[in-house]
Amino acid sequence: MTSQQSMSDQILRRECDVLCKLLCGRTASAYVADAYVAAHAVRAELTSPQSAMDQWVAVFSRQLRVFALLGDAYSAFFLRRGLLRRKLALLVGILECTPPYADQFEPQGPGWAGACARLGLHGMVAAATVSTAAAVLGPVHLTLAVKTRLGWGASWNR
Amino acid sequence: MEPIVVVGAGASAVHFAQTLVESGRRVTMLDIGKTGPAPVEAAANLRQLKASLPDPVSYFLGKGFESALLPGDEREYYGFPPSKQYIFEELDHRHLRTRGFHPLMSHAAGGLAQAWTGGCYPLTAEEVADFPFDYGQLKKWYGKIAARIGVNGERDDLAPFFPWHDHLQPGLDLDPHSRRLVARYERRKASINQRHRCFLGRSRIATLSRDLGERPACSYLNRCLWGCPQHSLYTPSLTLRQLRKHENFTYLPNVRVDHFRFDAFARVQAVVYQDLRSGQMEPLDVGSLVLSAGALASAKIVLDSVYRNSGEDLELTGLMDNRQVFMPFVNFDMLGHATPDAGYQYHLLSLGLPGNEPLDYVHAQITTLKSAMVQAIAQSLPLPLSAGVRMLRLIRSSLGLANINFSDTRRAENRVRLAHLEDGRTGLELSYQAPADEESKIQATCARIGRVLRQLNCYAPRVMRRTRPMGASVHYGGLIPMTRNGGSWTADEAGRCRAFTNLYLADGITFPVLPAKNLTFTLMANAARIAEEAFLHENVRLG
Repeated sequence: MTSQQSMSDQILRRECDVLCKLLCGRTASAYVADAYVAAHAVRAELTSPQSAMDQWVAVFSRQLRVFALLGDAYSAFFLRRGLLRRKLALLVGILECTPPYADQFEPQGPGWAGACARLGLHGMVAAATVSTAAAVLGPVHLTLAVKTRLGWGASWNR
Repeated sequence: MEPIVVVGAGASAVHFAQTLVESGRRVTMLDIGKTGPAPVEAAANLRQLKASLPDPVSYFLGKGFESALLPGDEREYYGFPPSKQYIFEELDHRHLRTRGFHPLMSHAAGGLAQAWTGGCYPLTAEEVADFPFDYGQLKKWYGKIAARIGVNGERDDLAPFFPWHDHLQPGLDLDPHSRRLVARYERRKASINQRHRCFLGRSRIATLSRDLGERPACSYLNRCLWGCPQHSLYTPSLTLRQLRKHENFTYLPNVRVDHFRFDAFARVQAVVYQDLRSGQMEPLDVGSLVLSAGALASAKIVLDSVYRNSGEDLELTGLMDNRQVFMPFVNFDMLGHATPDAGYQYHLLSLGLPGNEPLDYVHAQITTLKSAMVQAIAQSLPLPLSAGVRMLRLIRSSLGLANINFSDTRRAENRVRLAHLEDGRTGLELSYQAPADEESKIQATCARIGRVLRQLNCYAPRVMRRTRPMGASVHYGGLIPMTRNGGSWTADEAGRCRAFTNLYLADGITFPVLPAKNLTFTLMANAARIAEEAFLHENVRLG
């Protein structure tokens, strides 16, 4: 393994850990991280950003769980096929077939009223997160779009 | 007796062969014969399987993570779990030119039905009115096939649409979601039957509710999608395995049939196949040749043979397939309910929607989501993924899917011919055009089913509905139809192609119409009927 590959693996492992905490509130096991890194070597969609903003959100989100929360919320509406969402979708797949994480994807049974209350709560939290993400990341998206249009700075995908 | 050579080893082929070898006739079967991985942890349910596998990610997502659906991926949910990927042939699109049709083909031992969901729906007498034989002949074989493979069902409101036949096992246990749907239906039955002309009942499924031979009854492991590890869900490879033990049966795998040779009297003399290990082309003399490789593969063999022998570029018309529409729904009665670890993953209920004519009947299989992975659904929701997976946990047990099937008829504009490639080889050119009124029929039917689902306290969001491309149902037929009288490119009641004296067609290629039900059960029954009609009645006649 070259030192560049090793560095890239370390970044992916750290990213896996942050996204794992976002999805299920716990750190990724070595098995989960290995699978996450292996997937990046074979699925090209996980390493091909679609725009400067797409790349920026992926890098931003791997820093901290709260950044990942904002990146995820922003991607749900403004970068639906973006890199971060693809990475998260992959990680959901890995986690839900790997115990003990898999239990956190099994159906919950709080009853009809409990489910409605929790759905409402999750919905409100999601709406608030999306609004915050739009306020924080929207200007970045606009700036990067303008810069790309005007040809300023290095091209994002060179 | 002259050797009978069967091409293919799918649902039709194995039941054709079984009927003959059990009656003392010798059969040679030519097949490409790809096989899949052996079942793992046969006694474990889905949750236990995840815990016991050393590398669960490879098992569920594949070594190349190919079963993980990522945003922007156009593939269908739960289309191809890694353990079943051997079933679907990687189509070489240089050899296939299609317009309006997206076919799936298989080179698996057992054929495409290795990946079926077990629906066994006998046709009614009215639906087979265009077939050139008495309904009783088919009905007899429905019972015999049910005895061979094990089919379960119940006498309920769908009985008028799925005629009762012999050897049906009792229905499987219903999961909590299906039970609630049935309970609601019982309360609203009068309105649903009369206002919407819709009937709900148990699916007929080729899964054992009682032990049959060496196969045990379903253990409710919730693993149907990845392949039943105990073989309680029937697949044709089980019959093939049984046939291979029979002294009258010879199986030649790793061969791809290219064409057949015939003489000036239209008698097929030999079939020419390519040995896939050596690459050599080899002839094999035949007494009678039976094509049962699936409608498209059988058509290709016929077209190639005619072209090589006479230079004629034949065109076969009347290609059919069942249009399918996926209609996901949420059952509010199930909101916030956990699901038990024990369960049957595939459909247990069906809807029947009769129309004015027998072929207007629409059939829908109802699958409740119990244990499948949610990754594919989560990534498609218009929600942050972190919120989406939490919300899915709460609504997952209330999710279901109606898989709506529509009938098809033979039309001249839907055709198949050879494609002549630059390298001298041949491919297939398929052209399909949906009938002009199809979209309006789909809209009207979906609206009708949507109203029925509302009566069952379910909601089917219109934006989630998906019309599958033509070819996706893999119910192909109609290119050389069985008719009472007809020209060269039709078949008689014994499945004999009228252009030849000893070429028999025992797959969907001979179906003159395609009712809305999954045709696999009828393929098996019809293939067995043809074997009897063409080769065993002949014995009786000869003496």
